[in-house]
Amino acid sequence: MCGICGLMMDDSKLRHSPVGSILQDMMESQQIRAQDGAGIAIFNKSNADDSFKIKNFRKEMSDYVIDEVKSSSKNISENLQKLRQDPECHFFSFENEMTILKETGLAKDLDRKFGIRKMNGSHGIGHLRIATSSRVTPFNTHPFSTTILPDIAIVHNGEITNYNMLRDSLELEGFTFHTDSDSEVIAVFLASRILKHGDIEKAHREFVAKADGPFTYIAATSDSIAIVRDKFGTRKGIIGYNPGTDDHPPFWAMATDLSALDVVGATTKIETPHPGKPRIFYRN
Amino acid sequence: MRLNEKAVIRKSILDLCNTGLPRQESTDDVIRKIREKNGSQKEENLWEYIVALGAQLSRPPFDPYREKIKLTTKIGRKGDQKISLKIPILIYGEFDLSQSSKDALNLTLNDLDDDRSTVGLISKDEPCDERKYPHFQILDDINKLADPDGIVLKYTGAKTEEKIEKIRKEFDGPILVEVDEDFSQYVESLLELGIDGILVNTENITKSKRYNGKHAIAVIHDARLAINEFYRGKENDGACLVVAGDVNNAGKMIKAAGLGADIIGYDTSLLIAKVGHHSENFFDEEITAQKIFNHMIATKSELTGIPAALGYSDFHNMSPGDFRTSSIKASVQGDIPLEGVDKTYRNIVEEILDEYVNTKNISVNQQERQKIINLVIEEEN
Amino acid sequence: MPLPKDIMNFRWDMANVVKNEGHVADLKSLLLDAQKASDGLVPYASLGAHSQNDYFSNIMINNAKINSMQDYSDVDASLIIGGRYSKKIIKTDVPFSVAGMSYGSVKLPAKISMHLALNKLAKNGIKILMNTGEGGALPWEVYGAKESREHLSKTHWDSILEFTDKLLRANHLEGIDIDELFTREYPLIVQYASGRFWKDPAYLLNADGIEIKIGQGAKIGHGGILPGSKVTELVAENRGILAHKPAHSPSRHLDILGPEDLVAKVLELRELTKWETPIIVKVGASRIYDDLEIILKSYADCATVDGLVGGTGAAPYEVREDIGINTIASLRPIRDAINDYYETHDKDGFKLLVNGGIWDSERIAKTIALGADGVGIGTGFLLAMGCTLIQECHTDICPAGITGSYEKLDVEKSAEGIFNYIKATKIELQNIAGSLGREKIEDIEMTDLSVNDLLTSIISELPFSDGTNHVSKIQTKIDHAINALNLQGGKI
Repeated sequence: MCGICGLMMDDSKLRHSPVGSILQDMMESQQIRAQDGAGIAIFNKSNADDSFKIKNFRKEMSDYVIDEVKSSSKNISENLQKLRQDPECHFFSFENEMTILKETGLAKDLDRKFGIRKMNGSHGIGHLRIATSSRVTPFNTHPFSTTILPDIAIVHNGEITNYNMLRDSLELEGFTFHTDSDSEVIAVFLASRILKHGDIEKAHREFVAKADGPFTYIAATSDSIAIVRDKFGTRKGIIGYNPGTDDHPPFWAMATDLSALDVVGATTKIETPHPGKPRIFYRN
Repeated sequence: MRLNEKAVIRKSILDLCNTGLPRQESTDDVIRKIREKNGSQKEENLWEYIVALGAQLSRPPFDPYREKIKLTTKIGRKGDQKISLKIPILIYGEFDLSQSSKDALNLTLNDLDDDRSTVGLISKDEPCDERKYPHFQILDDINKLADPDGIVLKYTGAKTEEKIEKIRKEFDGPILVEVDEDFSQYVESLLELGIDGILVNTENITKSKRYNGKHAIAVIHDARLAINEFYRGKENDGACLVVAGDVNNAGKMIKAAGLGADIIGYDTSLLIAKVGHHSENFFDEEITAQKIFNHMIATKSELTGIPAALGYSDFHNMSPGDFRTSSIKASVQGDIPLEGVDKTYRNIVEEILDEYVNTKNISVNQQERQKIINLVIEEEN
Repeated sequence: MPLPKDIMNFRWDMANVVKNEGHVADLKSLLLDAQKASDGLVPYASLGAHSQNDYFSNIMINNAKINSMQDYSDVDASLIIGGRYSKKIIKTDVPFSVAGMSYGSVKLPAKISMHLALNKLAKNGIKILMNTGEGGALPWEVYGAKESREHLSKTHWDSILEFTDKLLRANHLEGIDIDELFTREYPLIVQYASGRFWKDPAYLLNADGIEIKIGQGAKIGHGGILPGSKVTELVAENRGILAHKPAHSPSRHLDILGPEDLVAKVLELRELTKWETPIIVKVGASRIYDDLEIILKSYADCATVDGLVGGTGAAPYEVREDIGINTIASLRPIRDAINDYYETHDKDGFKLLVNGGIWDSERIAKTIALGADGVGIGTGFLLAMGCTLIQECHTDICPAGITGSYEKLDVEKSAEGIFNYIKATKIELQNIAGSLGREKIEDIEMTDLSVNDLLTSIISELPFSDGTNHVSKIQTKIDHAINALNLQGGKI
């Protein structure tokens, strides 16, 4: 039950758009909603190569440090296996062109630690967390990704109430979970459907049909970003367009509160996503 | 408060109110004495020891007046032959009904369909021609196949599999198999043959030797486990679990659904008895039909109200994790977490055992570990 | 809800069957089924759930006596609520309060009995907290303090008096002295529930505390309902709703869907009351660890938790029976939530009230020892007024005349019963603490308790009276199992 935001540059030729600083502005404007944790995922095609990064949180004393394992497509399953067997290791992200950064505390602290404002890319999502049903730890902070496929990140506001049921059936099918957060099920479900039929829009529609409870989530893959509200529209979500300036190209922005669109000037073409209907933007 | 302790509690409090002075014994002292005198209460009806977790702050409840709570259930694993029920109930009874009862039932079921509250019927009889509801025919003899919407076969050993193969050639609607107590051994192969679900009658199965002394929740839990085992490593295409027997009120239906039942087999004879028995008039078809109708509509409201209070907009979204129990026996039989600790009794024993063998430096292999745990938890069962 | 004639007959028939054959469980379900068949509606029930196992009786207070020759009247039994964020505090002289029972669900004579009894107790030096319940407050509760009447216009005051007069006359209570009635000497908490059944902002402004009711033990996740038969014209006028129609309240506050909405609501009420009035958040015991963590973060002064057995005026039968966990079972996750929160926050004046199945001093002491600061009692006060526990509060057939009007309630006798109940319970509580050598009720601790069965030990973390606990009991079982299986410890 948190504050979420996301943006997609409308002109992807400019790969080095200031996604980080816009996201940071949107997050800080929504800080009042939640103070337990903050995180971002930013996509930048120029990072893409044939190696994959598996990041983990490892507990050292009372703190968590981030471990990064570089893998080629050959030894990737081996490395994932190792991670699953290590109880001290908490899965953080599985990245190729995506970069996820997250931490407990405020959005400002996140920026201070990782320099979010300096990050560039084509699209990104951000999250502010207030804990509801899992503990305040860095690995329960959003965005969530999955070890099934790289470059999937989701941020989520609300509650997937039938999380247990969805998780049980996905686990039976053979997919692995790494946290006890209900939000992770979105990432795993989307990945499982992408593997099955490759159609991201269909995957979102299937998820809305199956998931119960009040929620809005924003999910990003390497070439799309989508905002999805539950079928009753119990949770907020709003979309706006910034026509661009000299400093940055035009972009679509989405967030929980209108204030977050205001602060980044995305106030034209304002719309509320229809309950139960995914609204998707593709990287062109 | 237990019903039979009401009087004690009342007297104990009235002692305070009448005198304004401290009593000699507290309410709990008196209750304890009575319980000691009567011996410990046998936990027979385990349903009464199971509760659901309601939705409040960590998740909001739905409101059936504002949000539509879905009860619809589909039976059938293949896309084009699914049967849809608007209430997840199949009327089902083993006893023969009188013709007038049958007529009343037929009347009700059609009315319910008109009301968009379709429930199905499982019966030995040939389906009525003017029916609007789905009829599952119990088929003892393949040659008697009439024109039902679905078929229920009783499991009768290995021959059943041949029967299924044969029927499949002529009939492409849903086939359910009513299983006996040994279902764990053959459910997977039946599902492999393409049946659309299994039906467990908890009343019959708990009478068997295998389930001696166990409760319906153990049967439901095991049946769900068997179906899940079949789906390990593949996508679930919706084989359903129909639970009949000791599930004859809304509370039990909700708990059965939480444990894994998709559809409830609601006993016909019981239903007719309940509503017909106390009628002021002698048996009147229309009055009986109206009463069964009322009964089903009220049950429908209960079946939407409780999931909504748990934060679900679909009856089928409840899972064992939404339930807690105040009985070790129920925790063991249904694998339900104990209230307040959120762990099953098995989990607790496992933790203590692992700690114990560590400190005592005993090495126990996986098989032995399981044996010890089973012995310990069976003791409380 | 009126009962059709055939249902009444059926009940009578079945009662005879039960008497002769003893099928208690069957009777319950047969009655419900018959009722459903008769009207096609969800059957309702009232008071608390028939929990088969509420653990209370399996817990003992070691070496404590409720009756003592010694005088322990100097044992401190007071309870303070507020001060964590609020400027004002509520101080009461007993650690138990009158749980929310609204006008409408209980009839006016019962409300007046409680009012008079609590005033009398206050005069005798025992201030006890009263909760209005969700149905709004009565005029003398809202305007019971002298200063609250000072700024009222004459017309407003006259209209209040006129309504009061109507209320009293309808209940044949004209003899009550108006000046005496309009003196409230005990602290009052008003409920801010999803139904918003009040029509006067003074309801919130004049209260000593505000309780945001998210849920209650008897019907968690389910909105309240006052059956149409109980919404008389006067009840309707007091609540500002239509008469003779059921008064539904939604299953959730329509503007509280999650934790951040609760924060916003608490802050809204804080602004409204100039940060003076203590604010409480009430939930039923279910996902209690999560819910309490949220309340702790929400700028509330206090949380109220209501266990499964907590009563109600009307709830669907299955909802009352099947949703929520027992009071004792909720206390362990509550302790965990509070401890986890204060690991990273400085201690402050956060308080915890617990309701549900608590009727006498020993149960109060047990609940406090297990982590509560105070408790709420509902059914106990009904018993003090003559309740017979037939659990028909949702109908009009209360044989004691408390929740229905078949009988006339004797206001004076009921007030006397409540007076005695509170007085004696306070003495018993002081005796318990005193005989344990404690100076305060709140000093009764978990070490003073023991249990007599395995499950209670698991759920409460309490030891048996011989010092063993559930871990050692299970270890013994493991030992037996290892022997029985012929596994020799150490070798393998």
